[in-house]
Amino acid sequence: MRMNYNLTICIAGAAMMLAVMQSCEETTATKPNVPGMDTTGVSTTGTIKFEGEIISVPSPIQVATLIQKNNIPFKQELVNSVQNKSRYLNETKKALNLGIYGADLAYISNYNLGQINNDYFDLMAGISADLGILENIDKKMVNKLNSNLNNRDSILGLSSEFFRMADRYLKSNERTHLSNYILIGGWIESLHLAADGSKSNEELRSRVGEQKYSAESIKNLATRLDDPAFVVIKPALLQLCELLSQLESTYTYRQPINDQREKITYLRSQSSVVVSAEELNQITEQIKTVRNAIIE
Amino acid sequence: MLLSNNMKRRLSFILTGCLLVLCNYSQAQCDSIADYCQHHITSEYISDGQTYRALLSGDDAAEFQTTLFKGNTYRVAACSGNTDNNLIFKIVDQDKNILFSNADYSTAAYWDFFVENTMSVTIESMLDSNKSDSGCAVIVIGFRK
Repeated sequence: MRMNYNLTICIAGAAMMLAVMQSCEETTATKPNVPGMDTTGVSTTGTIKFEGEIISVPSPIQVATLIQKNNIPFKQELVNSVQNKSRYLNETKKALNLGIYGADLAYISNYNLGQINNDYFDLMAGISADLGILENIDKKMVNKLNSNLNNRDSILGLSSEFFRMADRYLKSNERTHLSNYILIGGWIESLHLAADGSKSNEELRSRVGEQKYSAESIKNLATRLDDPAFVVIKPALLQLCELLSQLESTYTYRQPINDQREKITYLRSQSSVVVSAEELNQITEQIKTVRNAIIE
Repeated sequence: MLLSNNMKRRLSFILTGCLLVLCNYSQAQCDSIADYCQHHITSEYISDGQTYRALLSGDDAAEFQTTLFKGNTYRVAACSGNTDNNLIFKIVDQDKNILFSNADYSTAAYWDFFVENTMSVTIESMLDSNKSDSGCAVIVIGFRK
């Protein structure tokens, strides 16, 4: 009888909680006004969100790949020093710098540097362990990464898998803020690496300017993070997002081409972001300011 | 209805327990779907390091903005449940033009996109109402090596 009573309360409670969870996840409708679509009453919900927003941040591996494609020589002074790890005492700084070191590993992997790959992997593993991530992600994958540190393709593939698993673990355990600090760290370091090469390389210069498209997401992410260790970094980061947002851009739609047999669509729209030399200098300086605040 | 303090405490305890069970169940369900979906990002692709997921019901839609960079081929995989073809996804450009919808291709579980010029797009997903009323929607993205 008592069990039945508890069960009834539990079922009733579960129904109530479901309703509460649903209502908590309701957010303002941000669905685009697609012609021909009825958007009335559509709500956006999500398990991963800041007030309903799912945030996408470009992978640092894409910048590392672009640097490799353009044969930009390695510069040791560009990466965050291994010795700096001991400076990062709180979770926020650890997570931000895990993102930084992850982007550095992707960059270093371009150059067959042997032991340095191992040093940066050890750093990532150490910080992940400090954050309680390492013991909660697939050991086989971590071991595979550890034993393939001389193979660039393996490093890129496995380190992206490492960060995906970390992201999954943190978001599933209500530690989304740490996941987002990792994303911000990775984004800043990839911008830093791209900005350095942008003075002499048009493709990297464009890539810096194209971060205009990501600046809004980063801004949304940053404005909702308020850990004391991040609050001192945030104004400089928001200023960087503002500089990127102000860049002039153009977009012209062109009909995509679909290949059903190969399951591929060719996106052919034209776009450009214009970055003057002065704007590039300002952005580069601001990246340095943000990065220094993170790694110091 | 008046409840004694003891009863209130017990009720509160049971409800909290139920909430935790429900939360864990939802997360476990999403984790399982995310792992399944990741299989579509095959070895020729590198994951972007994130999973995008949302609990959906009815005609709810989840969306996020992302940047697709020039010269890359991206693979977008969309799953809800541990079988394919359950989640509708659309790629919409900054002017709200629909660039792609897998609803036009039997709700394909994944699709590739070659990007001629860097562009900002919105990826929007919703459950296929013929197959499911509610569930966890997962999108994963990879780019070709």
